[in-house]
Amino acid sequence: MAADGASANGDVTFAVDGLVKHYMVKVSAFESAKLRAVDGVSLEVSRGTTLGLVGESGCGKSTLGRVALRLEEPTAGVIRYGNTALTSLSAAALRRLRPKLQMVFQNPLGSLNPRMTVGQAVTEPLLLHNLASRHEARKRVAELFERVGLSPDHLGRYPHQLSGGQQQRVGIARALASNPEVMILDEPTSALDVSVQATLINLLRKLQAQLHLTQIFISHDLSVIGYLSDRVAVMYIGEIVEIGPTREIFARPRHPYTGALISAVPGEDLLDRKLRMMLPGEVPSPIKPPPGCRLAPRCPFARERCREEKQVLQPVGEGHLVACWRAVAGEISAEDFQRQAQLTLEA
Amino acid sequence: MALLELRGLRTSFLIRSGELRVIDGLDFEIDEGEIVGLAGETGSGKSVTAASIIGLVRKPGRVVDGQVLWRGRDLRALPEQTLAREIRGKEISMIFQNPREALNPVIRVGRQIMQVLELKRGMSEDEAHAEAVRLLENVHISDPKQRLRAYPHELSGGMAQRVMIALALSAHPRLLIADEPTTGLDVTTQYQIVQLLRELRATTGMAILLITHDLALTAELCDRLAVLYAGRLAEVGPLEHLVRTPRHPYTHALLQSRPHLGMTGDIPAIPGAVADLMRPPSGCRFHPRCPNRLAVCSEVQPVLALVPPGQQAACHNPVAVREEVAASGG
Repeated sequence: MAADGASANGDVTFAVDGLVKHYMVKVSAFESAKLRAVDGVSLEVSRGTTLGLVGESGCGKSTLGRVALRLEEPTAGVIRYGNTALTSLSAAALRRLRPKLQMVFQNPLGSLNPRMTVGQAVTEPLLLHNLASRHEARKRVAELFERVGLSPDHLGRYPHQLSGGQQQRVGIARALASNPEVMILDEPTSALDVSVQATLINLLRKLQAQLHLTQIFISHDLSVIGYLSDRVAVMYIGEIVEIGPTREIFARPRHPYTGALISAVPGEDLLDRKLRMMLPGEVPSPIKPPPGCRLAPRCPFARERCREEKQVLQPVGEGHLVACWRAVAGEISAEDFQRQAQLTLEA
Repeated sequence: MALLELRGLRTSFLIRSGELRVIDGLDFEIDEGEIVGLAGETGSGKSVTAASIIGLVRKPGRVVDGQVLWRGRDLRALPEQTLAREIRGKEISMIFQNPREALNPVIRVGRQIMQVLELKRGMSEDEAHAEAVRLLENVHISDPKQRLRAYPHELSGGMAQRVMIALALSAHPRLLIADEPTTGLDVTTQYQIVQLLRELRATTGMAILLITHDLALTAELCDRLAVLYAGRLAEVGPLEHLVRTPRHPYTHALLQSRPHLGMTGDIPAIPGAVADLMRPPSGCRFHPRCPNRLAVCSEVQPVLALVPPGQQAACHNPVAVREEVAASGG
């Protein structure tokens, strides 16, 4: 089932369908409970495009990233890469495909071996997957370093001898070493200082264009997502509540949650006080998500039905889907979010 | 007289390989009821500034020079006992980034608040309980009696920060130092805390020193802004001037380096990495990364000087302003 209009062009490289990841967690000495980290997510990413995945901490976006590459096993659902269902592959078959599916993490230091020079760290995947001879690998690593903006002098350094920005460049070079087609990037710039973040974002944008990567870019920062993504998916407590073309999502958000997130994005002029739509309360626990629409207890537009029955993603425009009863019925729109923000301001 | 005035403050970390000048000559003031933002990146010295003000710099760090004038009185000259009894947690309170870490995980929230009230304000248990309820109401925590029975892990991040704010305000401080108070909180919760701080300033008249890496946050809350780079003030002045007409190339570059919607092409980034304090660049510490640098910049340390439209910048070659702006301000 295509949950996402991207399939229209018939060139989907990577997709997840009905993906679920539940964890059993201890809630007291005697009781365990089910934490619904990812709770039925369907997404498609067209070849050579970037899908931005945005949500607040604990919404399940990082889990979704790891499970989508089977770095963790899903509880249910299907993952497709081209015509292959990753979810039905044996461990050995998956290992053979691994070079094509890579991930970049938020904390590069955590994913680099402290006792290996960064040159070795980037060489390792090439030798591990038999992608190059030692001689070829050396040449390839030098190319990769140049590509991510590191100098050959860096090859013999250890991770702790590099700045945070340089470490993340190594993390990117390592992910690129095996010529991947699909890259999942989980908050790759969030741990960096503002002044360093911008150079990394520029690099990621350049690499995506040069290498035609198919990407999922995970972040809590809508400004960065807006800049790097062709399409945006918004996640709230384990579910996708809205997905669509970046420009549409920013200009005409349909889901009240998207509306609230968008209204918090600083404009080009920081003093240009935008009206902000406030959601009362805080994000409920994914252990006991509210019934019906999960935003309903905080949503200023919720009606009786929202609290009882869940709406699934429904098309509202070209490649634009939303899971909100009232938005789908055309009862609320971006103008109402503006009006709500005005009310908040006056209160 | 300013509420707080830092004069030539210098704080260093004395480590085996040498002296790390984390704050290298800071002149800065906060008036009664004012919200001032202290913005900077990693290693800029923003959090060490806060610790230096309240006399809590951890070893091997030490305030080595300068004055911390609190209502005209130099806090550096006070014995630790007096500082602990009269100033810290009383006239000057502080809140931090991870509110839950500041609370004891095995003691109910109410008990912890009441302990502070009993110890610091000599209240009886009944008085302390009534006051704790009132404090939580002040920060808009619903059902405060119930919340007082909760353990810290049962509170969400936003709720825990409200508790910390309530606790910080219990002694009616004249200054609240808020070190990254919204970092780590969800976007939708961050704004609630910003609103709360703004409201509390209005109702209590206390001043706030907001320490953050987030310029967008300072723009939401502050009257004045100070930008730190590698332990020195790059620029300080009214928020509007710094955000709309930054004169220091660092402030300018920081503002430019945020992606925003509709931006095409590369984000204007700042080349290089933040200065290494073990081997700080000579002259202006920003000069190796600065697009405006002149020969003098690597030789002479610039001092803060008044520049149009009405802020101070420490720069030999400030960012140009359009003429009409320069004429209307200052």
